[in-house]
Amino acid sequence: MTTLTLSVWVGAFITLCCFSFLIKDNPFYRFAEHLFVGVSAGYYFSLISFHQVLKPNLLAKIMPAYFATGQAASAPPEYSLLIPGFLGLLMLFRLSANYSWISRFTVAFVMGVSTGLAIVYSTQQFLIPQVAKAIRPIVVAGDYFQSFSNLVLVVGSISCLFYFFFSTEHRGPVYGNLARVGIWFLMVSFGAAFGATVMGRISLLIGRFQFLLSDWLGIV
Amino acid sequence: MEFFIKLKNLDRRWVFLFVAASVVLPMLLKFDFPVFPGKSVTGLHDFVAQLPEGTRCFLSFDYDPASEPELGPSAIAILTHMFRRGQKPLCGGNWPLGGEMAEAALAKAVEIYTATYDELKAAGKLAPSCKKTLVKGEDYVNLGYKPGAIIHVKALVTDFMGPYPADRDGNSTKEMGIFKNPDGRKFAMSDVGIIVSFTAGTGGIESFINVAGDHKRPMAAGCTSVNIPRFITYLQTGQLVGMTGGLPGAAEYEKLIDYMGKGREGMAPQSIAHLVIMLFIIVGNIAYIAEQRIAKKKKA
Repeated sequence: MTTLTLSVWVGAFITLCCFSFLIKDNPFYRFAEHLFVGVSAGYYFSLISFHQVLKPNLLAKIMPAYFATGQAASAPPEYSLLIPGFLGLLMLFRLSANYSWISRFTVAFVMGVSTGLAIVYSTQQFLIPQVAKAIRPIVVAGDYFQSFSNLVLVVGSISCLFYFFFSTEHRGPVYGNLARVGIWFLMVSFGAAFGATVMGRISLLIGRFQFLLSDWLGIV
Repeated sequence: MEFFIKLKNLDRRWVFLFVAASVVLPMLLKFDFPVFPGKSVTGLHDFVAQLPEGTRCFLSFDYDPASEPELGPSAIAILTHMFRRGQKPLCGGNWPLGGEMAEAALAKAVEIYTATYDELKAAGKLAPSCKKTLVKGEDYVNLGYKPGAIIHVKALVTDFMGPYPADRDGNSTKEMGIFKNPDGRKFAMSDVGIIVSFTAGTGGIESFINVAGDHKRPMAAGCTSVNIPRFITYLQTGQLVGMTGGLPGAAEYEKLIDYMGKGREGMAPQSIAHLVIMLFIIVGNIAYIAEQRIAKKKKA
């Protein structure tokens, strides 16, 4: 039995263990669940974190002679990287109940940088382009479909925004009706999201059955 | 009416069985449903097709095995198309298992490209510079996973090789031919023809859109079905040149490159399973209305 065949059989067994949960909770399903958690953690820490992140981006730059390959091995060490390395080490204090507060320095640094970037970029690339595209002419001469499409977009955007004003009760001929129209638009969007979710879940099921019927059993 | 009310209390395992049968039977009977490429997929295909030969394209694999059945076929189809157009994919990942996903997609795309090379060459459907054997580090590269998402992408804009001193296998990127510019200039994000992110959730295409003002490169996304309503807004604003949504998006791209892959094979089971689910929703609603009517009658 080759390694590939063995991996296919193991994959098929684990898949069937997971499917068995559809009948009821059982030891096979729990075995697959625990195996997944254990393998994921081990794989992430050893292969991904060390070989794809720590080694090339930190160790190979601080100690190129030992960890870098090719021309990079003769590059001068970048000792400034000891600072982020030190901040990374502080995160290990999360493991101690008494000293876990030390890791907050690193978390605060990451939070600060991320928030600063997110606020600026979100406004520039998400909020403004969306608002700009929502400002459209309601009547496009000679193009009834585009006119209708623009009308739906404008009414939908305004009515949904009205619905999310919670400081005032949703009553009255204008405010109440607009909020009600907003609910209808939201319901349609939830329906679209639900449809897309069903489609995604079925695609995942198809993927598993393609594996079982093709790679494992070889009947399709 | 009694029949529908009885159906309302049907054991859910029967529902699972029906859905499983609706997926398995079309596969066993080899049903082939037609696929019609939509505007968003055609937009991406046409953009890739018009890129000059030798263009370096950055593909970010921002998913893990849980989303592989949806995003893997898209990635394979786009990579195959790029190889046939003589372009050079640079693969990376903002998700921890992105490098592994890229490795699997690259292996499959290279296999498809090599297997169809002679036929397509004879038909004149390959770019003139295309050669049968693709070399890692020259024609494509897998750079593996890097953490940071938006911070990592921002770092790539100013210094592409800094965050990627080595590829996923530990080979130094400085010596790789794929990163060499004809004028000897240092490789930068501005040398990339298009950024494509295969996104399963956060930290994917939105990381690239965030920094779009800095890198100014055209972008496209391959996303899971769940994310279609979220990402379609970026198509409307013109921030994305195209998008493949879920398995149907992959099937559409496969149709455009004339390849029968897992996307197209999955369209018959997908459609029939949707019909079965719709049927269950209708039956469930009829049962609900019937139950309400009976309850009203009893009250009266």
